[in-house]
Amino acid sequence: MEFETIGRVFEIFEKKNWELDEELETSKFKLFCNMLLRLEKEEVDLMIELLEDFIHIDGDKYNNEIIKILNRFLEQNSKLQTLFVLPLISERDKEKNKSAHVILYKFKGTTVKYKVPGLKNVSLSVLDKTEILPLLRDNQMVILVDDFIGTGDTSVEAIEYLMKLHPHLEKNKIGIFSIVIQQNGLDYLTKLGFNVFYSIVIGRGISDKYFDVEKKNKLNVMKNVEDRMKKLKPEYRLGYKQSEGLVCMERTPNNTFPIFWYDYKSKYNPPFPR
Amino acid sequence: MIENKEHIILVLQLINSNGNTSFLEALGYDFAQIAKFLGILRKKKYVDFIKGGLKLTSLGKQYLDELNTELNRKGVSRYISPLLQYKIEKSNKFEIYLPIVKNKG
Repeated sequence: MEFETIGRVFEIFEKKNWELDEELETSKFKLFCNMLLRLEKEEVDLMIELLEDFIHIDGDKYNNEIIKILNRFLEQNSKLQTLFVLPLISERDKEKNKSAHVILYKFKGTTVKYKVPGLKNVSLSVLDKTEILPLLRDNQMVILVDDFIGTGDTSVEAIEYLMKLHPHLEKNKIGIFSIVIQQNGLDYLTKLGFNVFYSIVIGRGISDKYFDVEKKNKLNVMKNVEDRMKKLKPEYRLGYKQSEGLVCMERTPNNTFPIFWYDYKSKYNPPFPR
Repeated sequence: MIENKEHIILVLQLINSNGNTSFLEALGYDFAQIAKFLGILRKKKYVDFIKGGLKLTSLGKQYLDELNTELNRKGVSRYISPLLQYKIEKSNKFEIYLPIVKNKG
């Protein structure tokens, strides 16, 4: 590998405060550099450019992000007396253990309660299941929480499930809460009339950053890389529903470009596995 | 972490000649170790990270000179390093070396 390449990747890690973890086999730095070894020069340049925009928020940082969003939420809903918290989960996933439960658990913990001043006057009720949400009175709201929202499809399914169980629930009493959300997911949910609360909104890694010929070229470079990824399901090309995501939470969402997470039969050891 | 002075000389020589990391990988260093060491060299102002590559500063060249002198390197070996991964211990003069011959029969 050229010294320039390793230097560029190092500078990005440094800027983002990501650890080199040189003692670990699972070091993201090592795995990212190993990934570059399988690529042509033009592809290497693209991956490094995309890495510059890559967002990595691991579980340790969730509390701080939740506190930021919750402070803003409570400022906007100053008359609120009770806030019900539910996982953002669709009916078909209701028995599964999903990332939404991680966020739900943070709401149950003491850190969020102690560090959000507005919660002194608001009663927080964290519920595991949508079925047990009571009928909401005045000055009561429910938020559906998760760490990441992609296209918004799952969020809509979760709301449909909520409305199915509680048909009289008004839209303005429902809030969607996520640390990171894709721009198209945010547009979709806002258009449907839901209030969305989030910390970071992300666009498509290539299509929303580059224009015209440059955009076309870079998409082609990525498509060529994906052509060589054995048995990659078509729906994951450029990320689920062509989301072109550049994000890793505690796990990497499938909306992210698969080069960063796809580990065909554990053969590739990607830098941001799912 | 790269601490062996022979290896440090090699890194500095490779940077100076716009080389790549393959010789360091052959010595058993991984990319994270190499990057960490490059970070240290930059912090000490021995190396500049510039577009198009890494550049040894005049301070870095001076450090390379000092290390060469310390390890008693002269002539061309101040600029190029032996492939240390192939270096073997000197044999005793009474030892007999028998190369492995493959039996073609």
